[in-house]
Amino acid sequence: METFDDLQNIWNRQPNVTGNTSATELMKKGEAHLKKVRAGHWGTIIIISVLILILIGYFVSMKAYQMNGLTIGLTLMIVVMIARVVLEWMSANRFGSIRPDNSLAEFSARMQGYYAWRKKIHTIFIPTIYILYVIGFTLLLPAFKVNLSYGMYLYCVLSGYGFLTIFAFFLVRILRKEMKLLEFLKTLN
Amino acid sequence: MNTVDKNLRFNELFDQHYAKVFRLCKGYFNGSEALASDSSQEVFIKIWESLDSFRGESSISTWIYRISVNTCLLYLRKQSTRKEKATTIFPPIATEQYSFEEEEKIQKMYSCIQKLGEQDKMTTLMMLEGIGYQEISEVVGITEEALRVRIHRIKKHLTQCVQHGNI
Repeated sequence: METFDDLQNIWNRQPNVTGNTSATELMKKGEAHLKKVRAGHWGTIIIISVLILILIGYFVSMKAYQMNGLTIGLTLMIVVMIARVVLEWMSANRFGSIRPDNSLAEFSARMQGYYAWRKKIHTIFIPTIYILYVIGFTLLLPAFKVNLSYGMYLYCVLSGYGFLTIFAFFLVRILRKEMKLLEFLKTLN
Repeated sequence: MNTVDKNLRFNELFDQHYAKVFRLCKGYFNGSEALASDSSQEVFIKIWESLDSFRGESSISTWIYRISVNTCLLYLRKQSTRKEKATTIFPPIATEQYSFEEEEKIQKMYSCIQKLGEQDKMTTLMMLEGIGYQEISEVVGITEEALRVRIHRIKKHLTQCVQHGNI
């Protein structure tokens, strides 16, 4: 009859195995990762700034103050794109603020909070953004029909809606994956 | 902390704790050395990144175990498509008394540990690694009394599982 102490002795006698790595290699990887995170932050700021400038530039250069389909459609698409980028940025900041050196109980509680917030984003904000984006794109089509050849117009319609359909599948996939993670975190309580 | 001090400190922590973190992760991943190696590397990358923010509110080993436990916990789930990378593993350093029967028993222990809940799994692995109760309670975030009760239950279940194959 084995006791727990016997198991502990067997466990202690396990051969020592370690991965083929060194402190120097990991420091380099850490530095590269930090650089990537910082570049990501700056990248987001640049994308938002460029989108806002495009929007302002469009209104100024086209003197598009009259509210036609093209203006409303384009404005809608750019505004929701900015909203999407801002939301992802907020999410990344929120995730980054969860310290990996919290106790397991606190860490899982914070992670649960984070994924509950992601759930809200995926089920409320993203579908709203998506619908507004589709409306914006649809509003552009009459202008495309007038100004483009029939072939080009058809290409825009098919590739535009095609992209939006594929994008919807990706969104559902991400939602499923994150909800699976949320369910797992709930089991930790 | 300047860069030279930080690098020296990291080297020191790597030498002192890498093997233990590796074993902890290996146990969590059902004995998979490839996953243990990759996740241990991720743990030490996080340690390097967060070293400046360590304020000494807990001991450095508690701090490292907390990062290890939290990293291993989410390692596979964050990226469900993550595949085992072909990390090179150094061959095991055999100990004199280690036998085939014992290897079999270790595998049985791994599979029994997998049957436990996530918190119990981590608690068991830290206990088997000889980490003190106070430190484990700080890592998990429960009182020492609650931990003692939990460990008593785990020991009983683990022994029973290794002997009879069920919990």
